[in-house]
Amino acid sequence: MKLGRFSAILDAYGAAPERWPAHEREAALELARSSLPAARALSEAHALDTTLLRMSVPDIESDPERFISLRSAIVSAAQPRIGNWFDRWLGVDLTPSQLWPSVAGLTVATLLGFAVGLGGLIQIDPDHDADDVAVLSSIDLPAASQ
Amino acid sequence: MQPNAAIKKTEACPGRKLSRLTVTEPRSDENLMAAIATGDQFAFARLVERHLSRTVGLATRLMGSRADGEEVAQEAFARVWTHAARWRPIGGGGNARFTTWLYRIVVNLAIDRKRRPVHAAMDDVDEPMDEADDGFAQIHRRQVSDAVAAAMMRLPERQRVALALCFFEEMSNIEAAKIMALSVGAIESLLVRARRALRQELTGVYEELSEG
Repeated sequence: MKLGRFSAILDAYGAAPERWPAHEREAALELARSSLPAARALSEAHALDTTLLRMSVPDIESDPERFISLRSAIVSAAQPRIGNWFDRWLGVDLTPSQLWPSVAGLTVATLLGFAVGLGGLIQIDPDHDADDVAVLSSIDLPAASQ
Repeated sequence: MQPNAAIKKTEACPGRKLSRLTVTEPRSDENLMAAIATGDQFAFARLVERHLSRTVGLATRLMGSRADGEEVAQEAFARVWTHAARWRPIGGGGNARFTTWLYRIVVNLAIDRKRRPVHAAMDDVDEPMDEADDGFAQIHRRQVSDAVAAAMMRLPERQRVALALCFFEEMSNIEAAKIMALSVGAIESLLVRARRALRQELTGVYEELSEG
């Protein structure tokens, strides 16, 4: 491994070898052992790591009261989902592969319903008189005729 | 009895009508998520308990404030509850572990909030007091912590997120790449820029620490 790559690894991952890319770790360690500039770069990276780790973010578990309070707030905000069954009925929570049989079924049913309806509309009644329709229309819809 | 363990009754010696309790492994995140998708609040409580601490830690580092971090964590878990049915485990049509999905939500929420004009300062990041330290040491530790936190907050947001995930949360670059939807090479590049910037900003601080 060249010193340039070693420095890039330190710049990216810091001084802890367990954080270095696994496939380069052994070569990097070997360079750190055999090269003075590499050892110096490792020492500098270690100093930066130590400084960064001084940034303290207290673990919330070290404050049990706060932990319990926050957990309770989160859990109590999770109300039973009334829309859950409705979503499932609509297929909102389904993947496309799960959804397509429902979509296909709905399409077939719609087309069938449309065909039946259309067939009823164009059915011809041989006893039907066109004059009856005209008379009925004028009686039933006076507003429209004025 | 452990609330997180699935317990089943098995007959050890059927002839003698004796029974024993077998405690199986704690439920996996995937298992809990499947239950949450059906509206199981107990499973949700278990999942929250398991991941709350790390979620708050990550959110706090990204937001620079404990209060904001807790708010982001709360909102992230609310989204987990609401969208549980949409999450698919690896092998079930999905391509990410639960934690990857959760941290992606946290990162996105944190970035959204940081882009809003008003945000809290670093002042409310409390540091636990070490009883072994004297007053001067405590003040010095607090000053170093504040200096690092302030330098972190001055980083561009993607550099800050990459550093928080890989350095502070000790995630692999592969996992961080999945969370940030970037390539591993891009993550490495962000980390290099972030650490170089911090090294420049904090030179005085860490030289002082090295000498100390």
